[in-house]
Amino acid sequence: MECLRVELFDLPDEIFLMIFKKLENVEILYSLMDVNMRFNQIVSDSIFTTQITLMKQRSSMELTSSLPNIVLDRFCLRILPKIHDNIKWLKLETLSMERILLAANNYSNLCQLDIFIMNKETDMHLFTGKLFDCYNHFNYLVVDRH
Amino acid sequence: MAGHKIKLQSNDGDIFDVEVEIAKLSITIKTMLEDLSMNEEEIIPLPNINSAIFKKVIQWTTHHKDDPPLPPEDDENREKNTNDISSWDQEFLKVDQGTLFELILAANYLDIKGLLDVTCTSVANMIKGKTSEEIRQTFNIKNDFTPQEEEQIKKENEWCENK
Repeated sequence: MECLRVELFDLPDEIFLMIFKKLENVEILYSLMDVNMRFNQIVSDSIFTTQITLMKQRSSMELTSSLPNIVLDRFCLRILPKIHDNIKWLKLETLSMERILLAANNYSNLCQLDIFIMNKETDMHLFTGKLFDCYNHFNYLVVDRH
Repeated sequence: MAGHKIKLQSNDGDIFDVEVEIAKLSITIKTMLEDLSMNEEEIIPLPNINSAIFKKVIQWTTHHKDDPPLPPEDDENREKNTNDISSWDQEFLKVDQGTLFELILAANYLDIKGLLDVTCTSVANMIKGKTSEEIRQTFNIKNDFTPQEEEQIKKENEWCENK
């Protein structure tokens, strides 16, 4: 008797959730958004879209860096415009902050924005421009630096 | 001295003599033996697991029988570390995708937290860093978007890649 091979999509959603818990939300969205309709439905859930960290965070703050351009491009062009209303907490760094905040029309449910300042000498002007005019509803704005 | 053994039957009819202490790493079997007062002489059927997969499960539980229990999971603070698969487990998990997914289903059915954890970590590692197209190729996933949706995705992905 020939046995049918078990495929990834034979796994139930509860198993997918266990697998995805092993990954950061940014990794899940980058790899699985737009794979197929079932994955789009699963990864669009608020579990994976409420809190997004769009930078490489390390235990040592000195090693914090931007995400690779190909990842940022995909988020800004394809992913953030789809999930922007789900995002409540965004963590980003100053090098890519502007393009991320401008990638969606509005992050209407954003409550907390954590910003990591990459270069104190050159990045402070970002906080005095119009970029933050539409985000006056934060509960928290956390600014951290090297 | 070897411990007491119980008989477990896979869904294709094979009967396995397994030490009770090893079998009890499965919370499902432990519950059957303790709460449902099943006699150790009875053959316990495992209707969701075939013999090939069950052999792998026994191999894993035998190797890990003296492991300390995994700490309870804390979703908020848990470190997302997908690099902590031991070298023995890495070797054990060098199997085809079908076997890996069957091991996940078996670990879930038998409620063996450690095996479920390491198999899910292995799949997470296969996902990590891949583009959506690479995910489709790796896992043989059919693209079920409409041609219009697909064209739009393709255009945007090309734009990202060529930038």
